[in-house]
Amino acid sequence: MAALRLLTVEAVRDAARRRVVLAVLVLCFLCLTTLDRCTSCNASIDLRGDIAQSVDVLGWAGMAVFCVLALWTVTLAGLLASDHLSESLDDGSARLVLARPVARDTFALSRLAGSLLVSLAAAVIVLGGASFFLSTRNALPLAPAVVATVACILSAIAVASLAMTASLYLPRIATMLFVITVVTGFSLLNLASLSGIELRGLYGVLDQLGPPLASSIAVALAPWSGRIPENADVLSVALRLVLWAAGGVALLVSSFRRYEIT
Amino acid sequence: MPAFTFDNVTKRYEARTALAGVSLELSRGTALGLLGPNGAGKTTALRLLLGFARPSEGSVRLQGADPASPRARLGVGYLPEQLELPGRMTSRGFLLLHGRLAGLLGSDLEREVDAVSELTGIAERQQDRLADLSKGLAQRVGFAQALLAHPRLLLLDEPTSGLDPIGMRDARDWIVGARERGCTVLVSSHVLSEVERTCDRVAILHEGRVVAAGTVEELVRDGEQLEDAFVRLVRGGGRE
Repeated sequence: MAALRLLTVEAVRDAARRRVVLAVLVLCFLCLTTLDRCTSCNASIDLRGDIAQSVDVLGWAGMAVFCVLALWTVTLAGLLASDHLSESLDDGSARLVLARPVARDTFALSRLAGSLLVSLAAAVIVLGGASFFLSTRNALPLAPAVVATVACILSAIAVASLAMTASLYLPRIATMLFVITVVTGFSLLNLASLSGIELRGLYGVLDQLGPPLASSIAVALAPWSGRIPENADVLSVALRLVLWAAGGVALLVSSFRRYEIT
Repeated sequence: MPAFTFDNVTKRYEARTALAGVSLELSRGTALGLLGPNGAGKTTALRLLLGFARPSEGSVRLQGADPASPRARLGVGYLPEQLELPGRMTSRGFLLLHGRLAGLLGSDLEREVDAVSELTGIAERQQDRLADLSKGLAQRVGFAQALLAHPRLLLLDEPTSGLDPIGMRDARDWIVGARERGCTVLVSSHVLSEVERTCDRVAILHEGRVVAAGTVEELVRDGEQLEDAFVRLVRGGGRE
């Protein structure tokens, strides 16, 4: 545990030295500024002749905003993880560390934890900010946002560990494209399914068995839209998300155990 | 218990065989020079020894354990051939990290980092980023991390690479100093004179096979230098 803690701290420091932390903080600041502007107005909306206040539709709007931000942080987690292990293999630091009495599992997990700490800090800042603005200004309840943030963290763990595993075998750009494809692809499938489109064949299988990146967040935020999801849906999505997060970490650890360091 | 054992080890990379049926053992307290031309399999042997790769056939034991186990690497100091250091770290930060990983804590850690920095001549450059150091200074930092915490086993792959003549002499002194403290040493090198001066045993690898092994005196014939014996053994493929 001491080695894991030491190497995780070192992995976060490494991210800071690479100015990743600074870049993430700037992105978070820009997100919060945009959120502040978006949630500070209360425009009137003409709905086929009926005038509605924006607060009347804020449940859906809040859900959409939160979903986009959550998926942004999941993508960020994948992108940060996509070179956090491979870079240490390239710059030689992994070889020297692994010549010490350090288990490969410990090293891989410390790199994953280091990159996740940065992206999860971003998730907490951005999603915490969104929750704060949406609940204080638009009276949306906080509990769904907290559950959605937990779902986002599990999604980030799944995507980051898959990205880190892919980075052992793929070049950096290909790994980044893999992350963007996975997050966009599965989110679109989830959203299509949630909006009532019947997905057939491979698309249906991917939606039902793949990581529920968007559906987990949408299910968590369902109370904002006034729709209460069925318990079976919630359980199925939650179970799938936990399995993908745990499976992703297990895949990373087992792949890195077998990986030959040159 | 030997410091390490190779038992009929073969390592293949797809169609290429890097090591073919190598058996080798190093007793504690001795120093072995692993010699061989480029591509002979010296670096592959070190990778197998540290658990970076697994043998295709045969078995490798490091300090009596599977090299993949962290226990096997307790008290091991390693200097790789192509030393690439994390450029954004400072020398001191790098040495402190490796000192902690080697099990040092608190004032012992600080004292040891100061001592190896002084020994290897980098004390004045401790706050420099590793990327800003010359190749020779970076090699000294690499030596400093390998010598941290008084290793029981020192694995050095082309240790004088990038060092100037003064640095080469210093490196020889550091190796001899480690040996005097009872450290077991494996030096993989092209530089025969370096091996001759620091090691009591030599193994010559050629095309993945050990073509000769023994003390320098056993390998060298009358009137020969180690270089002559090396050329004779490599060109003859060990067939005498």
